[in-house]
Amino acid sequence: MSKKLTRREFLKRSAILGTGVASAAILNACAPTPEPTKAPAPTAVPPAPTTAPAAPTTAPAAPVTVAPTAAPKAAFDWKRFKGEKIEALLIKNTQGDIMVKHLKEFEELTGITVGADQPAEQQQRQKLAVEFASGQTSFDVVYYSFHVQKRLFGKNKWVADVRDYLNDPTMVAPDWDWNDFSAAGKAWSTEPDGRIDAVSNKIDYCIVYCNKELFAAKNVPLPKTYDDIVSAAQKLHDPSKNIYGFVGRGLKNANTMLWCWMLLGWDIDVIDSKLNLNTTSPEAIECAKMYQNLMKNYAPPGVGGFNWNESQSAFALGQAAMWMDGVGFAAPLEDPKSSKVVGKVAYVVMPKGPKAQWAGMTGDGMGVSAFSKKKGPAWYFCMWAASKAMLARSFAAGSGAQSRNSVYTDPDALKSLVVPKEWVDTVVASGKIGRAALPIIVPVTEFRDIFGVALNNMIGGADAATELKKATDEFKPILAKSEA
Amino acid sequence: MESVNPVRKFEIPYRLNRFFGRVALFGAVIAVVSPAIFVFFWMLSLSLKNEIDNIAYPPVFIPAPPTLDNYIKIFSESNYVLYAYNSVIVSGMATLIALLVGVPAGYGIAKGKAQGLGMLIMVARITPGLSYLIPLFMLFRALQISGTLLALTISHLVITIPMVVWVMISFFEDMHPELEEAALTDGCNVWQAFYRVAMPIARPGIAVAAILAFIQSWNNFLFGVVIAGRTTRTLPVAVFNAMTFEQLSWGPVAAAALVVTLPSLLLTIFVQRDIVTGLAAGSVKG
Repeated sequence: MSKKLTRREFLKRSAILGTGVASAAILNACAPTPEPTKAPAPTAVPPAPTTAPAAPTTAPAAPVTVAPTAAPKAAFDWKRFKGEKIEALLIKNTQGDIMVKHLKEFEELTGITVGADQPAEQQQRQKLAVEFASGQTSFDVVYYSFHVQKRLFGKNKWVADVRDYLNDPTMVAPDWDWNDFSAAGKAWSTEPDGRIDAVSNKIDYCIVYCNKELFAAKNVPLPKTYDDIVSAAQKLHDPSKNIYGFVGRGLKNANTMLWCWMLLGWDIDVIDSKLNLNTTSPEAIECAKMYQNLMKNYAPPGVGGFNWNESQSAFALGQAAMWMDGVGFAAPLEDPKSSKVVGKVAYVVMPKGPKAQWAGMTGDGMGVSAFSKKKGPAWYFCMWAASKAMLARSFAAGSGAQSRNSVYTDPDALKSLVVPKEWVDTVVASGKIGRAALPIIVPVTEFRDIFGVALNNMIGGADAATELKKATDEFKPILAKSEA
Repeated sequence: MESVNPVRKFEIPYRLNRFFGRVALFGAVIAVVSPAIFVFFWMLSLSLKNEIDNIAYPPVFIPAPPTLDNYIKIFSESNYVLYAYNSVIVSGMATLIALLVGVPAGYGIAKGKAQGLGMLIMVARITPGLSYLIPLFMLFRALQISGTLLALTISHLVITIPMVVWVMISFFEDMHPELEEAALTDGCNVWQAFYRVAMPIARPGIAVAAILAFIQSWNNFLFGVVIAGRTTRTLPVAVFNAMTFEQLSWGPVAAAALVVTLPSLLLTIFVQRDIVTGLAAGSVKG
C-alpha cells in the first residue's frame, strides 16, 4: 500500500532538498581559486627577479629589477581598455582623497570608468577579508596595507601577480619607470617567491615629533639616542603646567606598533624570518620597560586609551614635548585650523637605540584582485595611481613618504609642499634606515591585540617580563596554526 | 476658646513639601539622565566647533562662535541624502517583511506551544552577525544581487525577523484563548481567527515589534559595511567615512553621527509611550 504524501510531508522534504542543494552550492563555491594573471597579450616571458625579493622583515630588500621595457612607445596605448568599467576599493586617507579628486583625469586619459569607494580603514579591512575569503570580489582594484595584509594576501594569492604586465611593453606606460621605485617600495611589493603582487604607493617611517618651543625653553637638545628621549621626557615633563614629556599610542593593538618601532633600536625583529618569536628576549623586555617608563611616568593621564588621534591632539595642543609616530602627520600639525604648534615642530629622525638606528616602516600599495575579470583595466588604474604625477601630489600634500625616488626632487611638488622642507629631509634620511616594523605574518591583528593588552597592562604598572611571557605563550600557538 | 484651622495649619508645609519633592525629583532625573544628555550635548558641541576647539584643554563646551563647517563638509563630501534613503528603504522593507512573516510565526509558535522553535529563532538572534556574512555574501554574489538594496534588505531580516517573532510570541501567549475559541465556534477557520481576532488585539505588540525591529535594523553597521556597495551604503556606515587617517576629524564625525542618530532618536521620542505600554503589556518579558 502506498503511503499518501501529505502537504506537510511534501513541504518538509522540499525544504530538506532545497537546503541540501543550497549547501552543496555554497560549499562548492567555498574554495576560492583565483584565475592566474595574464596580460591580454604578453609579448615576453617574464624574467624572474634578479635579486632575492625577501619580505622586508629586516633591512629593506635589495631592489627587485624588472627587465626594462623595450621599444614601448609604439606599443603602449592608454586607450586600450576604453569603455571598460572597474571598481576600486580605496580607503579614506590622503592618497584615496587625491585619487578620487583626480579620477576624471584617469577616465579621460583611458576611457575607463571607475567606481571608487573610500570606506574608513578598519571597515575596508573587514570588507576585504569577507570578500576575498568568499572567493569573489566586488572590486577590481584594492588599496591595502602591506604591514597588515601582505602575508595574508600573499599566502592566499588574493592579489594578482603583475610581473606579466611589468614585462609587457604594451601594458606599461613608457614614462612609468618601475626602477624609479625605492628599494623599500619594491620590497614591500614583492612576495618571498618573487611574485610582485602590488605597486607600492606610500611608505611610512617612524619619527619623533618634537615641540621646539618646549625644548628651547629648557635648553634641552633634540634627541639623538633612546637615552636622550628618556632624559628629555624627564626634563620637559611638568604636569602642573599641563606639559607632558612624551605621548604615544597606549591603546591596545595600536600600542604594539610603538613597541615594535622602538624594538628595532635593539637591532632585532619582533618575529624573525624563521617565525621565531623574540618577544621574551632580553632586548624585548628592555624595550618594553622603556615603553613603560615613558608612557607611565611622562605621558598625559589616560594615555592607555590613546591611539594616534588622541596623541596627535595632545601634541597639536602643545601639551606634549615629544610624540613618536608615523611620518604622515606633518600636514595637520602645520595647519592652524587643527594645531597650536604650527612652525614649532621639529621632525626628528628616529634616534639611535642601544644597538642600532632604524626607522620602523609600514607601507601601503595597490593591487589587482585575483578574482577580477577586468585585470587589464585594473592594472592601468594601479599604474596611474602610482605614477610620478600622482605620487608627487601625495608628497606635496605632506602625506607620508612616497615610494618613488623622483618625487623628492620634483620641483613642482617641492614648490607646492604644504609642510616644511625640514620634514622632507627627515623623510629622506629615514628612507636610508628604513626597516619593517611589524612581522610579516597572517595573524597580525591577533599579534597586535595580544601584545597590545600586555603593553597596556604595563602602563598600569604590570611587570614587563611577566606580561610579555604571558602574551608570547598566548600568541605562539596562533602563529603556528596560521602557518600550518 | 481659640479656634484652630487644621486645613490652614497643614497647607503651607504640604506645599513646601510638594515643592521640595518636585525639586528632588527634578534633581534625581537630571542626575540619572545627565550622562546620556551630556553625550548628545557633547556631540552637538563638537559638531559646531572647529578642530582646534574640539581638541582644546580645558574643553570648550559652548562653541563661540558656532560653525556649520562640519555639516557643510560631510554633506559636500558624502551623499547623505542617498544614504538616508537607503537606510529608510532597507530598514522599512526589512521591518515590513519581518512583520509579514514574524507575526504569523509568533502566533503559530505561541499557540502550538512550540518552545523549541522559539528557542531556535532566539539562537538565530544571538548568533553573531559575522557568522552570516560570508554565506550571505556568497549567496548574493551567486544571485548577482551583491551590493544592492535587495541584498541588504534580505541580510537585515536576520535582525528583524527574530525580533518580531520573539516579541509576538510573548504577546500571543498572554492572549486569552477563549477569544479565538469563540471565533472558531462562530465558523472562522484558523487563519480567520488569527487575522480577525488575534491580530487586532495584538496591535500594540505589533507596533512595539515593528519599532524595535526598525531601530535595530537602522542602527546595524556590520551588514552595511560588507554587503552594501558604494551607492547602497546605509547611514551608520557612512558615519565612519567622515574619519580620515592621519587627520583629526572629531567635528565631521560628530556631525555625521548626529545626522544618523536623529531619525532614530526622534522615532524613539515620539513612540516611547507605545514602547513602554507594549513592553509593560508583557511583550518582552523575561
